[in-house]
Amino acid sequence: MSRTITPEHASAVRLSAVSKRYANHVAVDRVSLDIRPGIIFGLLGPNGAGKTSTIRLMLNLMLPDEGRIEILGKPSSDPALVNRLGYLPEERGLYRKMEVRRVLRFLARLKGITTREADRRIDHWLERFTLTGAGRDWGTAKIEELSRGMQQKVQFIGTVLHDPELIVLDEPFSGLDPVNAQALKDTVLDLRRQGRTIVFSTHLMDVAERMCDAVAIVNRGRIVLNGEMRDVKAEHQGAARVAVTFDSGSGEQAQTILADRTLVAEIDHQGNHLEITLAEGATSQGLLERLVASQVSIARFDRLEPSLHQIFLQRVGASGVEAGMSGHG
Amino acid sequence: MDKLLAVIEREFSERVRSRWFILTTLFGPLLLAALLIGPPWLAMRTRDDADVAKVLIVDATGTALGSAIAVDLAGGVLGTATPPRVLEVNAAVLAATTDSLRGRLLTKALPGVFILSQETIDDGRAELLLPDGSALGVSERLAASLERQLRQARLVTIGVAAPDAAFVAQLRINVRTTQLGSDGREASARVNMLVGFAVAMLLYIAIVLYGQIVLRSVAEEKQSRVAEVVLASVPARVLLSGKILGIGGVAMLQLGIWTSALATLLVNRGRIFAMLGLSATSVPLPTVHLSDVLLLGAYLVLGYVLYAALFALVGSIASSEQEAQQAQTPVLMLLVSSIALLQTALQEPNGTVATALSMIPFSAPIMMPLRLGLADVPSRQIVASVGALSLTTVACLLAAGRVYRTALLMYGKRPTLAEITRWMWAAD
Repeated sequence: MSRTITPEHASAVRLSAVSKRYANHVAVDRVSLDIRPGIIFGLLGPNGAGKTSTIRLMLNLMLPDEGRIEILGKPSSDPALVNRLGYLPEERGLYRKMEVRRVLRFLARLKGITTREADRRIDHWLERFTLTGAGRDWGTAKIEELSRGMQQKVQFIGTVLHDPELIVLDEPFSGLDPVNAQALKDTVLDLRRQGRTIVFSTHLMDVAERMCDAVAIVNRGRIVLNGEMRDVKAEHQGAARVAVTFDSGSGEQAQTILADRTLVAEIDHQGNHLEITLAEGATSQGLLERLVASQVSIARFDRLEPSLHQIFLQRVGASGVEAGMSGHG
Repeated sequence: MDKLLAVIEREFSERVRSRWFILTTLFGPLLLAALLIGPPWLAMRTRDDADVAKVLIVDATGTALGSAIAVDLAGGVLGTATPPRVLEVNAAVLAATTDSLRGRLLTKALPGVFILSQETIDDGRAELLLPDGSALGVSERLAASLERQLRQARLVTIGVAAPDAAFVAQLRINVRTTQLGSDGREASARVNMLVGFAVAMLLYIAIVLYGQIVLRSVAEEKQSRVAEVVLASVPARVLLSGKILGIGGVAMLQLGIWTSALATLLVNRGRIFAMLGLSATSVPLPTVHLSDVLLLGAYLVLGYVLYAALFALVGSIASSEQEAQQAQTPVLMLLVSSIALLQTALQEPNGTVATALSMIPFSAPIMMPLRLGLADVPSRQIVASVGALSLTTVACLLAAGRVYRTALLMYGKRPTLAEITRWMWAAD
């Protein structure tokens, strides 16, 4: 349904020293961000960190007090931009008394799509999200007749119906059951494959860790960490660590290798499961080769990376973790 | 432009498709029909003529007073109406006769008993017995007839020739008040007052009714958070304008249907009354010129847009529909103040109060049409009033658009007056 696009500009989103103040506090404090096109970008942080304000500034829903915002190579105030952006707000809501198709047609028209074209796309998306087909056509139901999960799907369809180049999703997975959350994740990954840029905010660190190509962590209105996911992890890697689990009884054979101080600096024994901190200069590949050569039977060998949650704790400290912040999801 | 049309179309079509619209649109003409046909029908049910003809006149005066009244009520000796029956009794049996007639009154076999005695001849005292729920007009007609006959009898008694006495006594006074406008138009003062009052009330009801729809619509969009989705696609002023125009369209359609229904009813009044066996009472409707209609339309449109913008502003700063209902009081007070002073304006349409209120933009949409219906308003006052109203409407729309953009995305805390004022002056 969606066309594949090739980005024409270096940045999908560029914020340069952007600030937004309310009466009593600074919601966004000299934030600078550069999001390259065609990636999934995660804007992470606890509730009240300034994620929604940053998103509203990107979408020109609010005007910054200071700084410059460029979206798809144009100033964020450019009226032509709105048809190229899709936005799913954190607080969902649709016209409760309207029929699903009529709501979607209305949202599509607001993005410059003709009614005929909108109808074709609506059919495609309703089918994709199993809102039509065997049993019942939910397209003719009123929004208020739909379950919460279905309403969220309809709202997501409204966000992508006009095939936007930049899709901004504010807490897209909150309130979704696992099946619907997975369907949404698959769609987001599909959209990235088609060259779309997706920016989403979340306080669920492990969702971001699995999906995002790049992240920024916001806390108290400031960016405390920003970069490509692999760079962020490498930067916080510290000493290389691996987790090894031996098959029962074969651990003894590895003792001589593990005692080699040029290879292993520290071992945390948990029965057959070991968490090993490698010695300086040693690599996980070198350790694995030595273990294989000694014919030890290995059940599991993992390179341990710091989780985003741990990185957050490391950078901000436990004081930065507020209610609603979670490493799971 | 297409986005504005999309918003207008949504506001219009969703409302026109609603059960509320269908019910109220149908109910309007039914109510009008009931108001138009009801009073004559009720009047027929309690027609004075019919009731008077059935009243029994008990005459114990020993004169021909009872018969004279009966003839008079029937329209004179050449009258075509049926005269009431007259029972001449001796004064001695009057009490007994009256008692026996009371029973027939209670069973409503008789619509009334008019008792004339020596006291009637002496000092005009008579007695009318009516069952519950009788038309009051019967009493007035009997009293008027008695007065005429007594005067005539007294004139004869003092030596006036009978035809002369009749000439003097039968004189009936009938004053028809007509106001002459400077353009030579004639109009009945009473009808003008009623029409002016009806137009003012109609404008008031239309502004409140459709303004409230705007208020609820904005509050609902904010509460359901759908406003944020829409604002990501269209500027706040487009959303606001589309909403006001869309709901305005609903108002035009509904008022159009009601007005057409009223016009159809009025034009075909005679036929409808004939079908129902009613006699149409002639109500001289004031002459309506196209310029009047256009001016009235301008006040309706400007008044609606002005108040719709204010209602939208209130709806956008409230965090729920309930809160919006409470917060609208200041806006409603502006409107109600015009209605509260309606009586003063009706009595003195060119007085200081009415003139001042028709110049103030917030009361002009109600007060100026009222004055136009009642009196000649100098053109310069009309121009000044329309001008001030137009400027205020544009200013309110601009201010509401600015507040709207910020307030729609603020949840939880109601903004202070200082904050609202700051948003109004904020750059676009």
